[in-house]
Amino acid sequence: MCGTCGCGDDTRVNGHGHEGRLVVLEQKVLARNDHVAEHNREWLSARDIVAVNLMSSPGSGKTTLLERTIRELGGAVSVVEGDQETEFDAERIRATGAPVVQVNTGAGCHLDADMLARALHSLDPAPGSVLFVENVGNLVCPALFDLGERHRVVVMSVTEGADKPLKYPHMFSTADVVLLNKTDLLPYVDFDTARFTDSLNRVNEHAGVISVSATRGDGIRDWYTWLRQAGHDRSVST
Amino acid sequence: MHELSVAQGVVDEILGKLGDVPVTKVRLAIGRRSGVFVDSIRFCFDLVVEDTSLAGAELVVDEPPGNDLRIVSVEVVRTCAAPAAAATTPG
Repeated sequence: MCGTCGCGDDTRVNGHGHEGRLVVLEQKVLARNDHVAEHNREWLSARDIVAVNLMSSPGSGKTTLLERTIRELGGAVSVVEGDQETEFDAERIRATGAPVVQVNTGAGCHLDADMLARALHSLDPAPGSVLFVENVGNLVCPALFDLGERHRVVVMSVTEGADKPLKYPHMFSTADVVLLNKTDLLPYVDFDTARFTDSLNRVNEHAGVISVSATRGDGIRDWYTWLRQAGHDRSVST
Repeated sequence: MHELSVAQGVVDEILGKLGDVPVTKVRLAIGRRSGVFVDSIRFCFDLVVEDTSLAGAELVVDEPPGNDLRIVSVEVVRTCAAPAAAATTPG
């Protein structure tokens, strides 16, 4: 340990006397976020809480999907709502009777692990419950930030382009499952479902697709079945 | 604009490791599939290093394939007198 500059046990200095010297760090940029995320994961796991990180573009129907899911799923469900501004979504969730915390990110474009940690502290979700984290509507930034969730779900609607998985590969490559929402609008829009599935498979071989209409209820049982299989048989009833 | 968070993360990690030692160069690896836009990182980096020991540091970015997102190394200016050198001075 260098008493002058403080370089420590976990840094390697190429020759001491640091004038213009290289200090090799090999440090992950998001190490701090990942560390907090791991704490969140342990905290949730210790309470047998299944945390699902919902990500999508703005307007894909995440909140409508959650409203319906909370009303029909049964069991204890709580929600962390992420938006840049307003309590609008939290108010909609609150109307279903589920505990909810709204996180306003201000200028921020995503939720990070610290934000979820603070939200968990405030929300204190019940042991054995399902926790939905509705991320900020954005197909780029939230993909990078592990929150400590157990599952990542990407919601996409048929009013968006079928090639979106290829345009936003990072987001779609990290999904455990993709919900294709607003299928009740399929007769009115030019959406090529086969092309969408092919686009998704090219960036993510493992993620399944569940087609739903959150407003009308088509396919919604498949979503509940997936949630149940996602690890929470005891408090999820369909 | 998550690049601002990423750039802040870079500075926080380096300050955490090295304290206030003046840094002249930072080398990052930003994979082409990392979801991070290099031009934005450069812009944000200059903003977040202001008033820190990294102010004015040159930013070098390697762009390997894949989703790597790593601080590879830094160059620092502070001279640490090596005790061995002092001991060899005739006297």
